[in-house]
Amino acid sequence: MNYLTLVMKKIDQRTLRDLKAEAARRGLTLGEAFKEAVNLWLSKRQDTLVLTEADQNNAFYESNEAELERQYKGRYVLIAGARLVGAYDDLHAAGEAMRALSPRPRHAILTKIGKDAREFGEWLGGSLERSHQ
Amino acid sequence: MLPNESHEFFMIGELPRRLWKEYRTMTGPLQMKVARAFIQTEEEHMVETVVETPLFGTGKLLLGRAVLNSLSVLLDGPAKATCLVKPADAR
Repeated sequence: MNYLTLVMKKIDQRTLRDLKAEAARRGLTLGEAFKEAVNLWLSKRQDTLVLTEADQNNAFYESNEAELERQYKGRYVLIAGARLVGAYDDLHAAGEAMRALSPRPRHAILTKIGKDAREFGEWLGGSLERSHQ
Repeated sequence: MLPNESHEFFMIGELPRRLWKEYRTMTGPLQMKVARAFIQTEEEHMVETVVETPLFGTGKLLLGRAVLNSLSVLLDGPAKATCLVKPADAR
């Protein structure tokens, strides 16, 4: 990995002082603290965008669930951009329709009406492994 | 199960949130995100399945029961390999 030197202007003293103090408290260099903060900011922004699109698609599904059940039972329905893209008899056709979406959405719902159901499972201590810390 | 960052690829085939799976664990309920997926093997045999990742948490790569019920899988510990098993006469 290449490391570069970054010079920043117009950072207020208090922000810089707080950043230095928090980095020292966590045992990080200023560069490490900056990288952690940037990564957090970038992932937060991405989550917000995705959540918004996912929220809209789920809101569409929930408000039209009864109608979808009535019209498309046993078929795959594809929901993107908060609208019904189509209903398909098999998953391959639904996949083709999904790939044809332009621009490619970040989120879409693909569900088989009447077959997909909420499931509950039990996970009582499986897949335990030794920590490497 | 997938690590959380890998789930992003499957987000264009998610199940509706109200159909997401929930596990009962020793420390309380664990809510998963669920998406539809295909498994494609060397022989281009497509198996329909779902992938899940924790709504909160990092997740990890694990083969679940749905996959194990569809494919014959060998976990080769000494070789650190996961293999698909075929009957001898199918080779």
